[in-house]
Amino acid sequence: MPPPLTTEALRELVDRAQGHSPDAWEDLYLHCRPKLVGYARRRLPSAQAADDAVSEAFARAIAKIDDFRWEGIGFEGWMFGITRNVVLEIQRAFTRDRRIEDRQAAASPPPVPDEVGANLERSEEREHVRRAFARLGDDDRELLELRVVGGLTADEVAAVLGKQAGAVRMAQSRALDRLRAAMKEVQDA
Amino acid sequence: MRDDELLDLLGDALREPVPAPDPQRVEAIRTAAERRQQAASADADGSVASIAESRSRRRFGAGALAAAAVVAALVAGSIALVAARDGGVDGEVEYSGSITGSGGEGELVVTKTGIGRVIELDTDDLPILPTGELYEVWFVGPGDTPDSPNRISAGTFHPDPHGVSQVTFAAAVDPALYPRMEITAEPGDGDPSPSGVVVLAVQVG
Repeated sequence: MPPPLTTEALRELVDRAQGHSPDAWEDLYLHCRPKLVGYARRRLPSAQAADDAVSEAFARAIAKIDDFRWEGIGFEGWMFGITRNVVLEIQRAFTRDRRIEDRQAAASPPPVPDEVGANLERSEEREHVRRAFARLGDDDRELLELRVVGGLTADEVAAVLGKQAGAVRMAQSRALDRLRAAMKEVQDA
Repeated sequence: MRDDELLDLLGDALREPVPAPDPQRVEAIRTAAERRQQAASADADGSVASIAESRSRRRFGAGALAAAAVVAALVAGSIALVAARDGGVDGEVEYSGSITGSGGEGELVVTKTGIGRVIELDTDDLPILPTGELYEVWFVGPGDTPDSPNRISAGTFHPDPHGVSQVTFAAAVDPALYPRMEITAEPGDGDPSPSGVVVLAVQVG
């Protein structure tokens, strides 16, 4: 995982990318890829497909970078929006015959290995929340994932999903309520 | 548990280690940026035609390449500039040939690259569509029907005002799984499903 970039460093990289610097694009790719691949991985049948989708998203970003503006949504939010479109296009080919669900089930994210001596209680809690998260609807999962894994603000999530920021905040609150309820079900099971 | 604590816990549970990327993927990103850089330079130099000629050079063989180079040189006024644009898409060409149908004929190249398949389409035959309508490029798999589509869109385009379509797309798709390519005319009504109006088609895998 590359070290986090400051806002200023990211802006400087994007400025250079808008001048089509290959070095800047490489740095942006390495910076954004883990989050984007993680997002795509939970929606596509294989790790290879997720990496392909992110590569495709970057190819589109390189072609469209002249259109990018720092208005309302940051570069990472913009990249999530492009990646989401690529993922949806790939999913669309599968949705009618349910193959995507079968493959997603077969390719559910592997458990994150705990470090030796890691807190067992925290580990159990993570497992509970992971199983509870899997019980949520697609919309709830995507919104929460963009917030916590993508690290996007509510405003950025709203831009990615094409919704109002207020609606996203309300939807997040309801999604967290449903997650709590699902966690209780998992713990009681 | 407060909302912020639950969000932290969820993030902790969902974040997965992602292996470092294949160096070829990184190189493909750099190559795409370099090509974009070259195209921007060409635009700035007012020599857009030389890029189209560069693509033609790769497609139509040595004789045509030489002719294209001369034409491009005349247009751009610089043979050196044209030579610098040579190269096309780096990767393994999986299909290079005609694509035909009711919309006429075009030249299609599908290249396997580190960022997926790059599709280049050249045609002067497609009718100019009314405002709001567009053409869509599809990879079509076995068993595709209107009720049960098995296809992936590679993108949409319009011919330019002169009826010329020289377009390049990238798609994360394997022609071995989606071996037929189709160009359809779409009404631009927001419906993502294909219209069924196939204007060009060819088997590529």
